[in-house]
Amino acid sequence: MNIGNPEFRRNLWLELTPARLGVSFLAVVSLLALAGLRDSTLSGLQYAAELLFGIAVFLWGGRLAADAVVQEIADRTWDSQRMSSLGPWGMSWGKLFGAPICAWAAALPALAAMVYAAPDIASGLRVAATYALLGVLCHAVALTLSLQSVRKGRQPGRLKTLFFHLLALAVVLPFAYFLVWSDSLPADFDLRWFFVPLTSEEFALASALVFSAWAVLGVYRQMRLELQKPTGPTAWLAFLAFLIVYQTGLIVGSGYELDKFLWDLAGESLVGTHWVSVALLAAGLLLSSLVYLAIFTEPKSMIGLRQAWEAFRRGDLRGLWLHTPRWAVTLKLTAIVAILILVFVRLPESAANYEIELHRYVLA
Amino acid sequence: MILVEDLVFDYPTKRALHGVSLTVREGSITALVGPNGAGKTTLMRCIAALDPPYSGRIVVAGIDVYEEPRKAHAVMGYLSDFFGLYDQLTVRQCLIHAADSHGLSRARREERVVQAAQALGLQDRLSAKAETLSRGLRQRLAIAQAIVHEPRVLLLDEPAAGLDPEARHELSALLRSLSARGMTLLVSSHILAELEDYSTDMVIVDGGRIVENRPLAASDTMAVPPVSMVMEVLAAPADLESIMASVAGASEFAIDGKIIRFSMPDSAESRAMLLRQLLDRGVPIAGFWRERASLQDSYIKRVSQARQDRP
Repeated sequence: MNIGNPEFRRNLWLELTPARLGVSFLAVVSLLALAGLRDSTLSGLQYAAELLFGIAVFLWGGRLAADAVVQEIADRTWDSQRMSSLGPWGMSWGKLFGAPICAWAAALPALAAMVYAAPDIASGLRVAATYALLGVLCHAVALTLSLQSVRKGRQPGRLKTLFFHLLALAVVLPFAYFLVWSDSLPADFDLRWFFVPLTSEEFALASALVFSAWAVLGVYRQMRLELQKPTGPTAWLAFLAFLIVYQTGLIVGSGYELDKFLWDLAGESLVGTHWVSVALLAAGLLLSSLVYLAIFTEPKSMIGLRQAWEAFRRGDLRGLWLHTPRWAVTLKLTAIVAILILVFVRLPESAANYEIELHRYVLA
Repeated sequence: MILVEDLVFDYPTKRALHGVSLTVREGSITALVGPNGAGKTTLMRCIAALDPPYSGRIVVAGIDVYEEPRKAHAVMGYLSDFFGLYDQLTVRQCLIHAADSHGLSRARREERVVQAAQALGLQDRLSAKAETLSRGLRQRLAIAQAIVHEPRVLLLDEPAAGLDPEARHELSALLRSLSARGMTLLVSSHILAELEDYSTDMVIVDGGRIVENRPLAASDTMAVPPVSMVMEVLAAPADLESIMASVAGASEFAIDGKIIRFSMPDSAESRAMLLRQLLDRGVPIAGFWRERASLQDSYIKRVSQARQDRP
C-alpha cells in the first residue's frame, strides 16, 4: 500500500492487523444486526449505531489517541521520530488518524447504519458527518493534552493518559448529548447564531466542524513545540477570540430565550439585562476558567519565564512572544475583558445590589 | 561541521551546561568523554535539536538547529543511549519507515534500505521482526535507521553499551568505515579504550564545561612530553640501578621488575647512544619504546587538572 505519510503507514502496519480488524468489525456488525432485529423501528438501529460508534471511537479510539505519543516515549522510539524530517503537520495527522485507525475501521458500519436509519439521506449524512467530526475532536483533544503533558514531564503515565481521555470525552459529550437531545426539540424551535437561523442538525454539524478544526490545529501547534519549531501562543489567542465570538453568537441569537435563561439563573432581578452585558460577563467567566485550565495543564517552567524576561530586557519582541506561556496570554485577555466589564456592564435596577458583588468578583 | 557557541542548558534545579563552546571538524570521529553527569548526553541532545538550550547557538553543516530543526535533522542521525525499536515491525519495515521519515524518494529508499542493511550486516534478516533480534543486532538496526538517509553528521550516545566484545569490535570497524565515507561522527562512551581505536579528536566534558577539545595525533594518542621511554629486559641484572644511573641521557628512571621507565632527550642519536651503552654493559634488552599515554590516562589527567583549576 502506497501511503504518502510514513507515520500513518507505520500505524497501519502496527494497528490494522487482520485479526484485530476482523474481530472488531464483525462485533459491531453483529450488534447492529441484533439491534435491527430486536426493534422493528429504525430509531432502535439509530440509537444502537450511535452507542456503538461512541464505544468504538470515543472510548476505544480516544484512548488510543491519548496513548499515541505517550506509548512512544515509554517504548523509547519518540526521539527517533523527533529526529526525522517529517514536519509537524505530517506527524500530527499521521498520529491523529493513524493511532486510532482500528477504532475508525470498526466504527464504519455504525456510521453506515446512522445514514440508513435516518429519515432521509441528507439528514443521515449530516448526523454521520457530525459524529465523525466529534470523533476527530475527541482524538485531537486527547492527543493535544498528552502532547502538552509530555512537555511537562517525559513520562506522563497511564493514569494521566486516562485523565486526558476523560477530558476529551468531557469536551465531546455535550455535543453528543445535544445531538441526541435535539431529536426531541419541537419542529419550530428557533435556533440562531447571531442572526443566522440554523436547524439543530446544522448547528451541531457546524459546531463539530469548527471545534474539530481548532482541535486539529491544537495538535499541530503542540507538535511544532515538541519538534522544537519556534511557536508562540498566536493560535491560542485566536482560539480564545473565537470562543468569545462563538459564545456571543449564541447569546445574541438566543433572543427571548436569554431572559428565560436569566430568569432560571437568578429569578426576576436579572431579566432585562442587555445582551452586551451578558456577553461580556460570559466572556469574563469563560476566560477566567481558561486561565486556571491553562495553569494546570501547561508546563510551568521558571526557565521559560526567565527566557521571556531576558527577551523583554533585550527588546526582542519575537523572543518574548515565543516564550510567553498561554496562561499569561489568557490572563492578559481576561484583564482586558474585566476592564470592559467594569466600564460597560450595567445590570437592571432590580439587580442593583448585585453590582457591588459583580465588581468585587471582577477585581478578584 | 558542528559549531557550538556559548551553550547554556538549565534543568529546573541545576545548570547542566555552562557556556559550552566547541567545534567538531568535518570527517572527524570525535570522542565525547566525561564522568557520569558531566553533561555529555545533554550536549548531544542539544546538538540533535531534541532539548532546547537556555541560550547559545548550535550550527550543524551550516544550519542553525533551533531556527530550522527539521532541516538540520535531514543532515543528522542520532542514536540515544536508551533507544527503542518498533518491535512488531520487520527489519525492512523499520528501515523503510526511517527512510521515508527522512523524505527519501521511493527509488532511493529501496537502494538505501539495502545498503544500510548490508553495512550493518542485516541483509539476511530483513524479514525478521525487530523483537526477535539479539541485543547486538538491535543495536545494529538502530544504527542502520540512523544512517539510512546518509546523514553528514552522526551522533552516537554510548553506542557500545551492552554489546559483547565481538559486537564492539564490529562497531569500531563500522564507525571507521562511516568516517572513511566522509561522515562526521560524535561518539560518547565510557569505554575509553574502545574510543581510542577509532577517534581522531577528543572532547572532555566535566561539570558542564569543556575541559579539553583537541585532535589526537594521527591514529594514536599523544606522546608524553618531553619523552618518556619504556624498556623491557629479559632478566634484570643485580646492578641495573647503578647502570641506569651511569648511562648518559637517561634520567628520572623507575625500575619495576623487568620494566624500566625513564626520561631522555627526544632524538634518534640519543636513543642509539643509550642502547649501545646498555648493551655494552650486558643488559639483556627485550623491548624499547616510547611510552604513550592512553586516552584514559590523558582523560584522567586533564579532568583532575581541570577540577583543581576550577574555583
